[in-house]
Amino acid sequence: MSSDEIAVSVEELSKRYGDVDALAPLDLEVPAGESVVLVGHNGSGKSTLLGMLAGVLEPTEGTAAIHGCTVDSIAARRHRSWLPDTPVLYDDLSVREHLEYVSRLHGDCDEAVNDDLVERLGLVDRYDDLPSQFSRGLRQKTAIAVAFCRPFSVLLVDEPFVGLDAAGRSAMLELLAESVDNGASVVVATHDPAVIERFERGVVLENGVLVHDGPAGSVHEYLTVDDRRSG
Amino acid sequence: MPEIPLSVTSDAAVVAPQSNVTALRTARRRRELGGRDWGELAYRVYTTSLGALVAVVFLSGLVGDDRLDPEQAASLVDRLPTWIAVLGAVVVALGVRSGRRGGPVALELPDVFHLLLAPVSRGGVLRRPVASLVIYRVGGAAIVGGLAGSLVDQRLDGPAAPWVFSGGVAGATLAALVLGAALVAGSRRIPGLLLTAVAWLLVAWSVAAALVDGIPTSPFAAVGDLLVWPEQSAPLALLAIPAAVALVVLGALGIGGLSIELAVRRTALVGQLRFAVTQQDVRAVVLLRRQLASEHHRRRSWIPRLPQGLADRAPVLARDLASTGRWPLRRVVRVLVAGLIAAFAARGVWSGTTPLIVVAGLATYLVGLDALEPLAQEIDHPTLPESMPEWRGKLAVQHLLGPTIIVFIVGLLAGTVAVGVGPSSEGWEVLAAVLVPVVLTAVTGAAITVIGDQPTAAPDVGLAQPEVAGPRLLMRLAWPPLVAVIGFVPLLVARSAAADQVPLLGPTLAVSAPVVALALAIAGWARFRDDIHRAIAESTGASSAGGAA
Repeated sequence: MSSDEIAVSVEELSKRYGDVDALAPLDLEVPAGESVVLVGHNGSGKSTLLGMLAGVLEPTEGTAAIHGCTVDSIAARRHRSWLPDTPVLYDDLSVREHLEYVSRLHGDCDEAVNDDLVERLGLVDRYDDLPSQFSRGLRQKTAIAVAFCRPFSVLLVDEPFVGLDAAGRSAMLELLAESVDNGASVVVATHDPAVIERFERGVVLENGVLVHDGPAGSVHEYLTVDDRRSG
Repeated sequence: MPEIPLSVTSDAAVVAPQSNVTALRTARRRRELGGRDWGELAYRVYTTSLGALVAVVFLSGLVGDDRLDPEQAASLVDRLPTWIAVLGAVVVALGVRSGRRGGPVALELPDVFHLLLAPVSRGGVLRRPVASLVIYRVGGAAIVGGLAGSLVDQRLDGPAAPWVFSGGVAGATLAALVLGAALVAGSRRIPGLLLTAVAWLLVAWSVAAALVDGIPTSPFAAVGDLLVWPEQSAPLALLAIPAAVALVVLGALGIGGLSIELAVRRTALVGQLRFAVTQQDVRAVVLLRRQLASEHHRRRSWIPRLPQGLADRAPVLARDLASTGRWPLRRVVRVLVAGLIAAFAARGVWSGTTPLIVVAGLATYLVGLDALEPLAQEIDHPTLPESMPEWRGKLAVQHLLGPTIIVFIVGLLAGTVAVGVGPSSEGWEVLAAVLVPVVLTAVTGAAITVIGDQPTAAPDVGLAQPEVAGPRLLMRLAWPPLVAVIGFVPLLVARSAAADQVPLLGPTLAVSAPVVALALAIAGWARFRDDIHRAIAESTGASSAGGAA
């Protein structure tokens, strides 16, 4: 896929809840193979933007496209993988069955890929266990495996490091880097200043308005003191 | 190391085989069946059957088996379709509303995130759950309709079988119409506002046809015609059956267009709502239903702030009015409509239809529940009131004042409309005599529900015994609306006085006094509830530890 191709394009995209502007009209383009970090305080509109790109929230105005296809189309669903901030998993499927199910829904199940993901995320011993009985961190690792087990060229991730231990965090960063190396576009929303430098581009939202778009390293000045300390 | 799979081609519109979805669903269902607790299922079937049997026997007793004379039978057959048309129009309008909120299918959240976001045909994967829903609801409605037919037959001559059959057909048709309307609204092929407008116009038409002679019956009367078919056949009514089937098919074909955002919200809330219903948790049901309807408080208040001096002297009233002032328009309309329903039901009681007293009481109880939102908020957030210097019983009583004002205003408006439709001096006298007891019992009845959810300052030792728990649960559910119904008892006395052609006010006010006393006693219970429980705990020798003082 050419790096000139636009993977994610957003035009005048906005979202209102009642009389509250969750996201003011926004224009944004993400070329294929670019990694973008979305930064902003709570309620700044990061999750709303990702939700609309993922097709789970409907825009009030404007359009969003994945590789030129509307976010709701089958083509866009094939291109896009979405890792929400809270793991959404079946109560009655094991980790293995989750990966088989989702990868089959997206074409075919490659057991070697699934086994590798499970090993990298430290889930080998729990491969046949039900995630409904897992801790928050293990559920997050399962959700990460589910997001990466199927083909994608655009990866949308919301707060992926919440609840992860050091090993899980490191595995997640590796998977993100590998995806970009393989040509995927990655958009990650996070509060974690320590990972920002891992991305190429930084986008800052404030009260639903885009206030900065530049190299990832330049977004530090927009982080609060508390965010920097926590990093 | 295997690479992360990337679909880097742009010709990505490859649809995963439907057979994958079917095979995986079959495997999940097998596992579910394997893990099912059959003993529990059998127990649920047993308790449901027992409940249904009790309901049938109760309804059968209520209807009675005295045969109607030919004139009465003709009147019943003539009027029943018009009232079934009202019922049908209302439930279809509610179906449209459900569809506009992401219904009627409630999927598992993981199905929404993994299945509906996968590159598969949404219509294809949703048609099966839709088919299950149609079978379940239409089948269930056919059974209920058949029972309704057999109840009608109790009062009429002739064999029962045709009535059971026609009742079943009418029930199934109505259920299909409701489901079809919900599916069409959910599929978003027709603008939701247009559908809603049409649905409520049909409700208005059906009500007008039922109340005013000379207005032709609405199309929903066809369902009623199907029910009374054994007595009076109307071939045109048969068209309702293909119309209902067509609506369901149209909705099912377009179900792939459902809103994922609404499906996510509905999926998350419906499970909680069902759980709250099984727990008889009225407050949770109210809150979840509001979330499902996206009912948020307004940023700006409808009501100006109280003057500073008054707010300083009555901070709880100021807080309550601030809360009520932020009601969304939808809640304002709902409360006014409930008030009007109560007022017109009371008018029906006055005209001789005594059972409408239950409708009137339930409607005022719902108004009371909405009006008591500020008190419910205090109970939802117990750390705030318990950090205040006032005793919480005293706070609870203070919280009754604002809602009483609100319910009084709603009652006055609705009562004025109901009496104003056909004004008479008697009507205004009755309104003046019954308004206060109705308002007080609506507020205090709702207060029992709201305050009943609050843990007491003393353990419920005496009341937690198994033999007490059942009746207590029944009281917790039935007593609050019953209190609101009791508020309309003075209306019955007024009606009786009018029939005897004696002045209304004297006997009506005489009966209003004990009703008002009941409301005041409930307010006293709210004030001294903790003390009562503490006294019970002490008398049973239990420790007074636990709970907040």
